[in-house]
Amino acid sequence: MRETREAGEVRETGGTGATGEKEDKRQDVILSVKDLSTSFFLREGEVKAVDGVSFSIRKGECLALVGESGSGKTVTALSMLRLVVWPPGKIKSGQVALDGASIFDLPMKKMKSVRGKGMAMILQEPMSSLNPSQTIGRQIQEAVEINQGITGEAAKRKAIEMLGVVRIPSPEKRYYNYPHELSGGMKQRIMIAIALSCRPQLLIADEPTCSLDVTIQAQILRLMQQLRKDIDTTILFITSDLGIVAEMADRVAIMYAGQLIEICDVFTLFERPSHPYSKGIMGSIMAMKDGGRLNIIAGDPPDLMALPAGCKFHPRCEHCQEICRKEEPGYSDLLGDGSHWVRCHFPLNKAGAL
Amino acid sequence: MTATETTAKTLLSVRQLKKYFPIGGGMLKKAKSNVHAVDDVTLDVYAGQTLGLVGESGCGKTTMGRLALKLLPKTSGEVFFQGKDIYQYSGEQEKEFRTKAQLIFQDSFSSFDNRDKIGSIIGEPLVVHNVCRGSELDDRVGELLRTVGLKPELAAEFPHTLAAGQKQCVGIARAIALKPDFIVCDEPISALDVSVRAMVLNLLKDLQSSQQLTYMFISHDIRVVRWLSSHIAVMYVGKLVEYGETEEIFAHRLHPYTEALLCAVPIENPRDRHIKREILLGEVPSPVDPPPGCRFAARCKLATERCSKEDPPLLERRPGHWVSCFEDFEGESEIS
Repeated sequence: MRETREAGEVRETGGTGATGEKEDKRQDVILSVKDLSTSFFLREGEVKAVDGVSFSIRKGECLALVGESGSGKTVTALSMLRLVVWPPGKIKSGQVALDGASIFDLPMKKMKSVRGKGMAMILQEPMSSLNPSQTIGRQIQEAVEINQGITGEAAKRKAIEMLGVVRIPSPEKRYYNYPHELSGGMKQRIMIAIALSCRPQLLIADEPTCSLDVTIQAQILRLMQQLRKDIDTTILFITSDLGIVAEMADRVAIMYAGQLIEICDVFTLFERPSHPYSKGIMGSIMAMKDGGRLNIIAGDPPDLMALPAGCKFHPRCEHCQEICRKEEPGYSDLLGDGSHWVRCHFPLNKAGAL
Repeated sequence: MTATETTAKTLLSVRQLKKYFPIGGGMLKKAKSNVHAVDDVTLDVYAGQTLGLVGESGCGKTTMGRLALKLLPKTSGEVFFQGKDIYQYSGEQEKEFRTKAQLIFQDSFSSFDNRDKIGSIIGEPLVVHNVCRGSELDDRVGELLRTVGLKPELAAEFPHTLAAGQKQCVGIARAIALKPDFIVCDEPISALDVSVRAMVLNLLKDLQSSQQLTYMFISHDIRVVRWLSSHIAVMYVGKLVEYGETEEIFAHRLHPYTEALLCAVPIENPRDRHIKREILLGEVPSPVDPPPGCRFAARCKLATERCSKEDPPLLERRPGHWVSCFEDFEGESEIS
């Protein structure tokens, strides 16, 4: 049963023809996702959770994957780890290559070596991802033993060292604590310690601070910034908070209704977003300071069961034209150097106009 | 804090209000310990304005909101609404108070009966208080839906058909149905997505000016509080640590916790990354029988021996600006 559940994917070659960063020829690309589509097949119909998503991450970079709830951020990450469960989820098409090696071509049994050592994930809710019946030290040690090939006393020492790395005070004592004895912020540090113990090539952080208080969130973000400097981690940071993007990201990929609609470096996004949706969400935080009316994006968030034809954003877009209702836009390379891709028929220019 | 404000009328005044939740006790047993949810809070809410109540989880802001609406019994202290103590109300007065003061919840969906149609959810307060019925009720419900920016036809739908933002709008429509004076908004936008948040916030601001509403706006996000509020009250583990007019507080952060809270908010632009910000260490202490002295002392860099022995009183250090801190602190970070 387990085999069939895990093997929830059928690959079609060719895909839909939507290509984001067409060929990333840069040498230091650690992960490339090409034309990834994942759907959930429900009684009511197909839900296209991820629809033709392509991006790549360079070594040492922090790419923020941004979008509102239901935009497909988490499913993208789960698909990269082949953790989409059939039924009802299915990876329909696409390629994911980690350090040049295609992940979808591996037999399911080999995925164990990818999850953890290749890509490790920090989940949203540390409370529900830690084992309540095991000490936190033991849980870190397990990750150390599996991924670093050391056992016994040496592994325990390593686990205690990891507690120190994530700035947990008196790690020797904390090793023997159970998860319920720790606060939410501490538990999230344990999750980071476990993920880093795998020595992953790519660290996926899925809204790691969303259930934490602001001062604790600031601590965790600061910790992740320090760790990036110290051990040169590559991070895919999933978030819906543009403030966190401003703090953490080198580049940003914005998702809407399962599609990646804009990808560029963080300064470009904050200074001259090209997709009307990107501009909309940027506008809604920018006006906060001066107390004026907030910019809003008209209309409701998309219903994934009943997506419109043409551009998925057109019912809410103030620049919508005839072609937007009929034809789905492809990606355009705004600067011609592959640094800024946008999926829009009429990308906005520097002044924010058409 | 009475002498400082002369222009605006006080709608609600809270005086030395305390709320302790006993734990470990039984019917015949004395409680072993107490959660000091709200501990000696004094503040004013001015008519037609917004008081933003800000703090981290467990600081007592929600309890404060409920006490202001008499939804919880108090331990001690007073809450005056239009000059009268709401905890001394007669039955008749209390009934009238229920029409004048309302609550907007964080998750409005779970506060609705999802087997009721939206029309009857919004119309319920009107029926309960015998305001109107029949076709008059339907008209009023349609009008309320239009006021919050929804189509009147939605009255015949069930709540599960609505998007999250629309549900919050229905919650707001229900809250304003009885034309109240005072609304406590308990984290009304924290469960919403960015693009919908702005819509709900704009709506709250519009309603305030069109219906002369007074808000107590509870939020953990100091940036949102700043946008909406004329006054800010910062709470920490049941205590009021700083209180005053919004721009005054942002210009002069006189309590180290307020400064820390501001520094903890993620920046708004990646170009601000160079700005040096002190990150507050440690965690919020337990509100169960807290030790004497300043609650913030354990995390405070300025803490002296006195801070862990004596409770700092709330003092007016600048005109209309109240702070409870022994030290002569003023926040200096460039964040504003």
